[in-house]
Amino acid sequence: MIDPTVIKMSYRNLWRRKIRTIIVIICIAVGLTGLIFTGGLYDGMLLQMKESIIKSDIGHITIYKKGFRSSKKLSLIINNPENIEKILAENQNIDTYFRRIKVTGMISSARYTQGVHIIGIEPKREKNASNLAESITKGTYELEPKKNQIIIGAELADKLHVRLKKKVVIMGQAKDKSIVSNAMRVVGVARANDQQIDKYAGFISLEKAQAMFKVDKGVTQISIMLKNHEKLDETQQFLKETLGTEYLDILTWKEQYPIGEFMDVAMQYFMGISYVILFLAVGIGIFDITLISILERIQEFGVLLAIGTRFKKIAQVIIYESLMVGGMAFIVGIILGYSLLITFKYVGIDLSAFAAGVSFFGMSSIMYPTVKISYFFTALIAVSITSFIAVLWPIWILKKLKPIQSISFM
Amino acid sequence: MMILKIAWRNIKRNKKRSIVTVILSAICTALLIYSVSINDGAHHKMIRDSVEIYTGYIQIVGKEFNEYPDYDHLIFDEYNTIKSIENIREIDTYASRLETFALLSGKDESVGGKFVGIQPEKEKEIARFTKTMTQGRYLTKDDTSKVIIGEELAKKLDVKIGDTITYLSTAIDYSIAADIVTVVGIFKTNLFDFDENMVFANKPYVQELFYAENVASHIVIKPKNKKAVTKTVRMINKNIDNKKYDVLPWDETLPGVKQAVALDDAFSYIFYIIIVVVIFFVIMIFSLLNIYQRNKEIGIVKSLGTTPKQIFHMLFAESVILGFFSLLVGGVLGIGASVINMIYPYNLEKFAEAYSQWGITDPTIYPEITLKAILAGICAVIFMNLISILYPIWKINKLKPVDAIHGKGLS
Repeated sequence: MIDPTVIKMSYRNLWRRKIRTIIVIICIAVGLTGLIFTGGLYDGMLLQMKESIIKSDIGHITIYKKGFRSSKKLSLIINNPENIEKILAENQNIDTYFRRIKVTGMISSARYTQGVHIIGIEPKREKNASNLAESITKGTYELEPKKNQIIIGAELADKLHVRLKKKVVIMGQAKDKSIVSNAMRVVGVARANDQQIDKYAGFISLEKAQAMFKVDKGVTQISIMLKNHEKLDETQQFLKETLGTEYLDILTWKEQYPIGEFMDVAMQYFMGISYVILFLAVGIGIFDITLISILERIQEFGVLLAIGTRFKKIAQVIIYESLMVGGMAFIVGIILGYSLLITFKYVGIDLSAFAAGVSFFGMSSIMYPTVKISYFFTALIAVSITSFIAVLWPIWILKKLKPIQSISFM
Repeated sequence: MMILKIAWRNIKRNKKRSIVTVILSAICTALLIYSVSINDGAHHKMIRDSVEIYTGYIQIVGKEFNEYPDYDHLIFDEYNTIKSIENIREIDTYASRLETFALLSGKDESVGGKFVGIQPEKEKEIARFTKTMTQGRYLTKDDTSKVIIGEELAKKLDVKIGDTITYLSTAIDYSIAADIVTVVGIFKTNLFDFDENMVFANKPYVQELFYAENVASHIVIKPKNKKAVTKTVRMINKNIDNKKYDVLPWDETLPGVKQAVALDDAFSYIFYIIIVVVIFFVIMIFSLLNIYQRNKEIGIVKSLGTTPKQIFHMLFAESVILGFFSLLVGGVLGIGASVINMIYPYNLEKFAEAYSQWGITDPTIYPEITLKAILAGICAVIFMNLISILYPIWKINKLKPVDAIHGKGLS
């Protein structure tokens, strides 16, 4: 059982060597703060990247006609989306879904011509699902179904040298293989920090796209947003079973963007290695400081043993000293680390100085760290293990030194 | 000199502590040198891959072509421009290109793409995509209506070697330019956008079809020394008409790559700083303890008349010696690890897709031992070993000799 006297002794011992104790606390606390902060920063960055991938186009799960994703041919279009939609509407796990048509074509202004992804969207329907609405920097997000209106990526707009209300011509191949073109008025400009959108996308209304590319009621993809991300595999399995995979490709975002998973794994390794390195150093520090403080007090321990204290108790005193230092450092580190994270979660870290680099990585220009409970436990485990293990050897050394005999050297 | 001798003896007297201090800061130094090398290696590779695949280190383009990439901003006297830069010593080689957009049609499918006239022989020395042919052959200087296209584009158009493609575009005089061309080669750079968009033909042929004699959109330059891009740009600027042309180094043509590197560096620095700071404190603990143990000794030395300055010098000399060893061991370890890694590089084949998104075409990462890596190591050692003892020294100099001899005054 824990003896209150032991704890009291340990605590008092600590403050007999104030500066040392404080330096060890600072050392561990700084390490912890740093680790918690970078952990949250990286997690936040990854989360934002993944969210932008999911929200900008493909949703958590995407349904395509089999083979469309690699060939991008309009002959591989989902002709009767209603049948699929009925099933989607009934599923409890699905929050919402949106339909799109994507055709690769050309876009030209008076100034310039380049390749473009012409994307037919239903603004009203995907307003709460995709992130396009919040990416609009100029003009409007609402596309009127019957009118020739287009929203283009910001970098594309710069290249084409068009402003709002100016005309551009889009050209592409319809389902019947004929080349179709249409003059469109720019009503909105979008910047999503995603090169595929900023540089290469033009959004028109789904109805317009269906008419222009002669696909009737067809769509090229249905992107599904889930209520709960945990149900990803379950929902995919359900859809595969009910809709069949003979004519459809039903893919999760993870299958379409393996890079997300790669980054997750890379980050976990990175954080793991950082923890090991830092706490190895911290462990060596604690080890040394305990060793010295034991050697200094060897006569004191000798006296304690001589008056009948068992060695076990003395070992306990030493262990508690170390655990207390660890504990205090832990509290300081946790408070600092979490307050940094929470502050920046609200304020955000402005990376717009690196705007081009940010969009190169597909990150957002303002970064928000994630705050996870797990950082608390990882830190707790690391601190307790380190401060416990680091004192075992010094205790063993103490035992070998036979403290009782040292009294006679006083 | 005597101070050094005393310092050295002190270090030897306390072997264990000295060794642990050296090991700790050496490991930290090695880690820094190694990870900066890996980072630099990966970054330089990213830059090299992005730049060398097509864009090139330096481009000469018509004035404001980057802002207005249209037919009004081309280079309209290609031959004279080339003549004026031909004799610049810093230039290794150059090639001119004519980039246009075209609607391309295969068997059934049509897509938009970049239709580019290149000088096959010269291009080979500049751009690496020329070495990524997976099927068929590369262009020759005598080819006429022959093209090479990217693998993704070939898939989209559903064409193979020997099949024909029809293109439709605008000639320089804004008339229509169209022809039927034969696919003689397919390349694959692993850069999806590039493989999906590009079609290359022999420049003389393109010039003829587009009424573009003596016209180019880019003159791409490979400098002799890839690190002396700025100097080369300056030399070119001196030789050409700046009112008519822009000379652009790669960091202006590919700003994303440059900033991505800076951003990634910024993230790494946060991590380095944390590690160095923690080890800084650990070493500070060491030197504090060291001084506590020598409390009495220092008290006696003081009462014998040694000045605080001399004590400072002695302790500082100890640190410098330890720091020197840390640097030596850490340097050897860090550089050694990097060198081993250069011989046996990381192959991230598994993640090729992930890396291709960042412009790395072949996922083998070699570390690069740069001056920056070594400087980082040196700075870390100085910070960890020298700065960390200042507080302990300040502490000891405040001691009164009498108290110190009796073991009082420090806690």
